[in-house]
Amino acid sequence: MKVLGIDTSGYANAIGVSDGDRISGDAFFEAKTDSLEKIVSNIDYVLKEAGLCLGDIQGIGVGLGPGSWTGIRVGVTVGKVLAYSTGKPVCGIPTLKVLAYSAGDTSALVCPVIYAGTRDTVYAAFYRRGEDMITREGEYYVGSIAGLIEMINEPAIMTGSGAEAYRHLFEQKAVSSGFAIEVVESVLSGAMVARLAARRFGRGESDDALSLEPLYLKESTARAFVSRYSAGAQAKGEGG
Amino acid sequence: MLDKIHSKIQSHYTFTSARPATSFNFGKRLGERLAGGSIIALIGELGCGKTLFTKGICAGLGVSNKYISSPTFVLVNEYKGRLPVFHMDLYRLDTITEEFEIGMLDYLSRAESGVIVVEWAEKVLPLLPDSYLQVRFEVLSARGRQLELTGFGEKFAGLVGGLGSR
Repeated sequence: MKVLGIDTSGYANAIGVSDGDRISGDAFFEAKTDSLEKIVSNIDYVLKEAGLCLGDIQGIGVGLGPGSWTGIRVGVTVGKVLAYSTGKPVCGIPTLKVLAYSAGDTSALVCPVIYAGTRDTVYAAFYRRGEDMITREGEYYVGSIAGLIEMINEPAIMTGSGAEAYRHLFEQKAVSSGFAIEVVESVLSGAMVARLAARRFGRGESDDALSLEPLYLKESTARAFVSRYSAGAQAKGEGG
Repeated sequence: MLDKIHSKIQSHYTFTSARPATSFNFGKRLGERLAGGSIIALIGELGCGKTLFTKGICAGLGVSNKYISSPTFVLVNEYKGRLPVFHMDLYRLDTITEEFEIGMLDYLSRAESGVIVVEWAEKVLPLLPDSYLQVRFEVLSARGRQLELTGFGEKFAGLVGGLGSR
């Protein structure tokens, strides 16, 4: 099954095509001011390079975020419009899951981290790899990087742009806790979104093109910011 | 509303203006000195001169005055000056989840290369990074205003300190 995968949750365009376990094409266009405007021509480019046209595609996968508010909205909307207008199934995949999957085959806990945009706040989740599945353990995390580091109490693989940005903190935690905590680079891949979507299609699942929404976690993001703010103000007040 | 007090370095400057033109010129002087990555948080009641002051800042950044309008209804205006300017007005927003709805965090990360001026910034203080410039407006008379500037973080220490001298 040929599936087109799109993820724009980090401003950049990650676009790829998978065909079963094969990757037919995979491209990453770095964020520029107009990168989101070019998404349709970038999709066209990737399809052409893979020797395909939209008609050959049998399903569409979109990265749901969390990440850039505007970024996700564009990718999800484009995916939905393509699906709705061509009558193909669409399927949303949380971007954190895509990153966790990209970290490779491991029995350790995998924790993808995405920077939330300001004030050392991150989105994260913990995933464990089983036979053929990757499952999330617990809820999505939105909060301070320090809070996330506290939650790690076993060997873990950290991945994603947020893990890269706070590499030194994870290395410190590895030393202080004695757990093997490793930061592994993983590039957000459109083909990986496509493969995860293909698995869902294979199980007979898909999402409704009209009602599919980005994974904004905005309520919990708001709560995280407000509680950090009042905690910060309080700590300073108590200190004099 | 709580004042933001978590930042280590704070710098203060108070400016008293007898007429709108003086406030505009003060904004212009500030705008001339702003570097990329500056966030300016404006706080004050309706009609205290936030938009006028923003026009001054924009003039100092080389944005033509005719492009500048109050973004009360559109929420955000973007201008091209010496640096890109993002002019936001949060008057119509009530809850912090609504700030997320307009992609506030995206704008804050885009500010790295430009200048963000936020009117009604008291609504988003928890979202602002550790370093920003707060301007509080006090209405003294029909035309007179007092502007209280607080620079949070090292970045604004020199700027705020230098505003007194021409």
